[in-house]
Formats: sequence, structure tokens, C-alpha cells
Amino acid sequence: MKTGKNNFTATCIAAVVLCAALLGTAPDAAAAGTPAGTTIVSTVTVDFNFGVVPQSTLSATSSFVVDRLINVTVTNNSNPSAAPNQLNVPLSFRVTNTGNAAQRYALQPLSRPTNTWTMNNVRIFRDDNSSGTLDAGDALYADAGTFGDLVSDASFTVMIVADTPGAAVNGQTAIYDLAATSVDAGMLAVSVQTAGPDTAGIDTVFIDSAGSAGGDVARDGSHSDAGTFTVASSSEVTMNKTVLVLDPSGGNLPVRGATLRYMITATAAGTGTAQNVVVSDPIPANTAYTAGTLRLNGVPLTDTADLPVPDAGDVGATTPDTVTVRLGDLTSASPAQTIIFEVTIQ
Amino acid sequence: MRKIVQIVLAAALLVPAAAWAQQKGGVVIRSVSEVEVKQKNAEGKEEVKRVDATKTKVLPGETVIFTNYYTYSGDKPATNVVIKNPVPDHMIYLDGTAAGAGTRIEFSADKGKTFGTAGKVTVRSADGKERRAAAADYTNIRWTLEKPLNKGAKGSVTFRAKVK
Repeated sequence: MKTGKNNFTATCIAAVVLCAALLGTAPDAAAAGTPAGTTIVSTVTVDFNFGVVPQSTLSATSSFVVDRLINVTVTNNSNPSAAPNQLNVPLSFRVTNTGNAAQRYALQPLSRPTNTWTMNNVRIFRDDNSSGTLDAGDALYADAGTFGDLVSDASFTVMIVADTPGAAVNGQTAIYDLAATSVDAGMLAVSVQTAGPDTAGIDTVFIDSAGSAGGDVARDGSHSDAGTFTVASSSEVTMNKTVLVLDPSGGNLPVRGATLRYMITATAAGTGTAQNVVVSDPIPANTAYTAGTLRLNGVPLTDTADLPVPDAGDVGATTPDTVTVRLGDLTSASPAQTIIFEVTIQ
Repeated sequence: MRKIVQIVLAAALLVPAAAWAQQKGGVVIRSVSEVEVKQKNAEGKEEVKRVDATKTKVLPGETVIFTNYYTYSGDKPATNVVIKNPVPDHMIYLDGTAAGAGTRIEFSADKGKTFGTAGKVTVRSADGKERRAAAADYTNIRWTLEKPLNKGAKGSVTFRAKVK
């Protein structure tokens, strides 16, 4: 008996490594443009003759300063699958400074309000070696200063790193947004857009796009992208059935009138939970069930359906001529479940 | 923001004393950098207005209008008047934007060594091959006035470029 066998985890992690490696080496094609604070000077010259006499060259200039454009782009690199209770599952993102001045970023992992479950122990690390997984050297994010400044066009790979709860069920997903908010280089204060008319000094203008996170609108100095944790658990239930023959003469011969004592043992293995495990065992032909012999883990179960509140088992009530025992949810941590019942050879 | 508008009017100061003695007045040239911004006028209608580039936000990608205004006050005509303006650093010339009434407009893609009319300028690539220069390759613009300037003449030449 198998429930939800799923072995995608290994493949997914391999894909993450590849993705991160590619992004880590590829230079960004789009340049953020002339650095903020650059003075642009236009110089005009005029040559002419006064009558026939050449005159010295005249010149004039005008100049202006390029203002600060704030633009940040967050892109999701990986969508991991993780087993229940798996520690340090990485959800990888790339944060790129697409503005024209050095910036640092305040980072936030945001669980979507629509998530029905959340990851535990959610942290952010910088993936210093672009491995796509949490390594010893990766820096834990504390505040915008942790990862330092990113110059124009530069980027870093960061990971939301979290633990999968034990109760997570195969196939379940939880979406997290990584939000990056622009902070002035060397500071911890969030960058502020220059309001109103032009000011002395370098003005600041936000041109970021709207992000995936709720409320992350365009031109707010922040950007975000979403990634998904998917639970990929495997669970396998193993059954073992033995029979003990007890003949009327005290021996072990399967003769008419002899009792057959069946013992079924069920155990679960794997990373996940086998849900609602039900054991059904038809009464063998030419035998009759011996009333009152059904036991689960040594505890007697009634033979009837026991409606409206049934116990774990019945004989013939759920399915005619069949022993049915409901074992509920089993994990690898559950003790072996032992079912015993007896029949008589007719 | 800093504003540097140098007006060099005193041509006389720069010319030899002999010329100075004969010359009364001269050429005045003035450079202006402007940006077009959308503003609401008194009636609440949106209109495009030119604003000095030092008095508005200029970001990468912005188009800047450079205009050079000249006046002439000499008592003899000024001849062979040539106005030159390198495309400023960090800027890309926008094709077809150079203008100036009564001028012949030429471009250079080699920092002013050679000039040609639009579309007839060549540039040497890194591999040594010569190809037709695109507007983005232009490094200098030259306006040659077709007629002498008489006393009291004034005019302007202009071009647009985009901040890289």
C-alpha cells in the first residue's frame, strides 16, 4: 500500500543550483545609466571673422547634474520542494540594483495571507557562493546594513531559508514574497523620494515597477517577487500477515474445526504521513470468523459497526465477509499496528 | 542645483590689440540646457513647458534640449561664422534634432576631426572597418552660417540628446 509517493526533491534542488550558477556569472544586459551626481556640461564654441580678420574662439557652457534614480528588481530563482520536517529549505531570489546610484536594501520574507500553512524558522541568507543551498559561509540577514551596498547594476542572490512543518502534507504549497526596499547607501534609513520641485543637490526619483507582494505598488522604492514552497513527502505502508493454526487436538494441523489466528502488522516509512490508512482483509473461503476475536494492538474491537460512533474495526459491517480496521494517519514515527482475528476451518 | 552659465561676450578681450582698436561690439554666445516637462497651466490644462535643466529632475533616459543663442553687435559684418558643440559626455545625440535657421549642419563621429552631413559620416569600428555612423555615434555637431552676420543679428542653433 502506497500513499503519495513523490521523489521530486532531488531534481528540484539540482535545478536550483544550475539556475543560481547561471545568474551568478551572467552580467546584466541593461545598464542603469549615468551615475547620480554626474555633472553634464555642454560647451559651445564660435569662430568667426571680423571683416576679414579671424577672431579668437568664443565659448560658453551650460551644465546640470544627473539626479538619483531608484530602481530595484527582485526575481525568483527557485521554487523548492521539501519534505515535512526538512530543515533549511532555500527559496532563492536575485536582488538587482537597477538604479543609477549605490543602494542597500531592507529585505522582508512575506507569507501570503492566503497561505493555509506557513514555514517555520523563516530567515534570510545571502547565497555568497550562489550554491542555491544554505552553506556555512552564507551571511544571515539582520538589517539593511548586513549585506552592504550594491553599486549600480550589481546584484546579489538571497534565499528565504525555512523549515517545513512536520504536519505539512504532500502537494501542499505556501507562497512567500521577498520584498526589497531601497535604503540609502551606508545608512539604515529607507530612501525617500524628493517631493515637489527640484532641490539643491541630487534629487531622488523612484521608478521601480509594482511587485508581487500585496501593496507593493510602482514607484515606491520597493520591489518584490514570489516563490513557492511545495511539500513533497513520501510515505509507504508495509503490511505483514502471518497465520497460526491451532487444531482441536492441541496441535497445528489445518483440519476441519481448527482455528486460524491471523496477525497483520502495519508499519509506515518515508518523510510524510500516510493518511487514513484502512486495512481490509476478506475472511478466507471455507472458514468462518470467530466472533469477538478482533483486536487492535491487543485491545478488543467489537464486530459491529457501532454506529453512530464506530470503533476502529468491524467484521462484515463495512464490507461483507471482510475484516476492516481503520488505522488513521501513520508516519514513520508511529508504532507498528498489530491486528489479530481468528477464523475456524469449516 | 549648481548652475554654470558662462557667458563669454568679451571677444574683444581675447583678440589682439590691433583688432580691438577697430572692433566695436562682437558676438555673444549663450548655452542653455532645457528639459520639456508637462505642467498644468492656469486653466488646468496640461501643457509641455521647457524648464532649465538645473531646475528640474534629470534622470538617465531624459531628453535634454541644448540651445545656443547668439547675437551680433559688431559694426562690420561677421563672416565665416561657425558654431560647434560636442555632444556632451554621458549623452547620446538624437537623430534629426539638430537645427538652426540659415546654417549648414554637419556631424563628426571622430571628436571633430572630420565632419559630414547627416547620414554621410563614417566611423571606424574597433576591428578597423569603416561603416556609416549612426546618430548615436556622433560626437560633435557643427553649424556653419550661410550668410554673414550683420549688426543686430541674432539667432540660435539647437539639438537634443538623451542622458545615457
